[in-house]
Amino acid sequence: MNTVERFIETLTANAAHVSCIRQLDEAIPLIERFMQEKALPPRLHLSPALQREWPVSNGITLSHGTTDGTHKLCASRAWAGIADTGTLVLLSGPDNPTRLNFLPDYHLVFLRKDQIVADKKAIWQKLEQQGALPRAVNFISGPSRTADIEQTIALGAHGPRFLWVFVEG
Amino acid sequence: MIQRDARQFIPNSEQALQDTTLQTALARAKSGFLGKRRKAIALVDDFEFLKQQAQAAKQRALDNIPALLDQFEHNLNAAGGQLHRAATPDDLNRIVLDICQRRQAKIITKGKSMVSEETHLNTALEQAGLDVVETDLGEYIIQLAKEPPSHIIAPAVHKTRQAVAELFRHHHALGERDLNEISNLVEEARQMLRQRFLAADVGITGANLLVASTGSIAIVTNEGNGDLTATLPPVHIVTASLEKLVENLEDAGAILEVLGRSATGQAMSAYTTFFTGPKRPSELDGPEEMHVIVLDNGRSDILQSEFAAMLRCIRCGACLNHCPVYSNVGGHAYGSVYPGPMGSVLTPLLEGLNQGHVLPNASTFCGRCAEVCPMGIPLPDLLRKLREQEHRQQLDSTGWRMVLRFYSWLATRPRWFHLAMRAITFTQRLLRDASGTRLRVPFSNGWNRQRELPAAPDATPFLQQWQKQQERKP
Ligand code: SF4
Repeated sequence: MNTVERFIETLTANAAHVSCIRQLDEAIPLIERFMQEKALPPRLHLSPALQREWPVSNGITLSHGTTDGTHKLCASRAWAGIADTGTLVLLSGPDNPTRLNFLPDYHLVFLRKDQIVADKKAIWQKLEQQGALPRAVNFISGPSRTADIEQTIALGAHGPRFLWVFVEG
Repeated sequence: MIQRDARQFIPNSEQALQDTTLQTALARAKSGFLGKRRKAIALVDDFEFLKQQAQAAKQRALDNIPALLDQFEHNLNAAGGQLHRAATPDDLNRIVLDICQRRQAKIITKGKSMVSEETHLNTALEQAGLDVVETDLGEYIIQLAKEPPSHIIAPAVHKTRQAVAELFRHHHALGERDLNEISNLVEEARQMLRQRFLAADVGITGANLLVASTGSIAIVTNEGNGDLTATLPPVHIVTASLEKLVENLEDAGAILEVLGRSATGQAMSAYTTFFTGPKRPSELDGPEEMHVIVLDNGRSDILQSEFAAMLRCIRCGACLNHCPVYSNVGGHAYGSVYPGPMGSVLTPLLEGLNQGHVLPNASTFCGRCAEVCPMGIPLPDLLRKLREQEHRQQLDSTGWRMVLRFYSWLATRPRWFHLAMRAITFTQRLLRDASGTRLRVPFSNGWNRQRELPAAPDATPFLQQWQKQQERKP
């Protein structure tokens, strides 16, 4: 199994949804269909990084920036993916507000195939090379969950109930 | 009523054993934790290797704490954050309160922090009139119940879903609703806490790691409450203890490899975040201020003592889950902030032997805690050392001391010892039960109810046989 396949397998095992697309515009119809199925208002909130590269999507009303919790669907860009644990790495910055990772019900994350690495070792090196770290480095391995009541796992504790990862390329 | 006093362990555990709801909850928790951990470890090629890496990383840090703390401070300052050193629990509480008052804070959200339990921070803040909300679901439940945590990673593990539903009905004025399913309870807590996250003036979290080379603190959660607490309010305060320091990100990574697997049976918890300072000028979100308070509370002394290994503890909870004592009496019986084997070592060290000397006796020395501890802490050895100290400081009971003194007198006088042995062999024949294989010792029903004392066989005792054999030799 190659690294990308392994990443998809482990992330799916972590209760995330994964879609493979060749480029960004292929995500639009998938998102539109999802909104219809879930009867969600066709509104999507983007991180500034994604907003700059977002293709025309007439069916969806877009907004961008950070969030105050009123945006149900938010989308961000990841910096890396880790195959052996099914983990996304997101870095905070002017282009990537961190609230988007935790406040929405549905969190959509975009990642290119070439950003996926085998394990965390490579990540530590990459981060140390960066020099000073960004304010927040978020490792996300699936949607929010809790087992605090009777050891039973329930999704959507405080953070996103639904994590949808788009692997591009 | 279970008492919050470590010296009351024995009466507390007697009560806990009678509590059928608690027993149901404990049995469920135990099988859950053990199964999850076993599966997670079976999935890695060489868990022993990961454990060694983690232990080496932590040991490197413990050998160099003062320098690492300085380095951490330097890097945290460079990122715009502020370090505070708290020698005692009161110091920590005062520093937090000062920050809250300077910011004129009213609502405080909190992520899970065992250090803040250690300093009784909530009480200090509430006494100052602040509104403190625990946001980890388990912590929230026990806050409503006005109880201390009963497990270091699953604070409400002693509560059944019915008990949680009852608490929610009592505290949330939401009218008639279905709270039979766990998912309904989780959803209700989500709605209630969401408002508080957004309204909070200060967020307080613990830290699983302090990374010296970058000045970062790491928080591991599954709910995401730690991140919301750290990100939404204008001020983020971190309460951590000295031994959370590691040298660099790679060492932090080595510890993360064993933490999730040992604690919840996850290769990686849902959220692991490294925070480095407050909001940067160009950023759209994040707190305006970030404070990291590092608590000592005797740890510098522990580091110099024969108990230094205890500071390798990463609070994974595996030793609690595998302890036959903990899984029968639960966390509250210990009457201390930290329960189970790790708590039985830490409590006397942090609170003094006077307060905690009973807890090292709450062990059968079965050794399972040391076997499962990812940080290789020799818990039974440390417990034994504490028992020795207890005895040396004459804190154990007079009756017990007399028994020990008599035994040591006897055991160092072979002639008397053999005589006594012969007398015992003889009298025990009179105490055999109907089957002839067990003994009934008068006045020890409490002991006999749970265990059996095997009767000695009728054959000639070993020493007599040996003597005879020696005599026969030319
Ligand atoms: S003593 Fe070991 S097993 Fe127990 S909580 Fe600490 S690290 Fe985990």
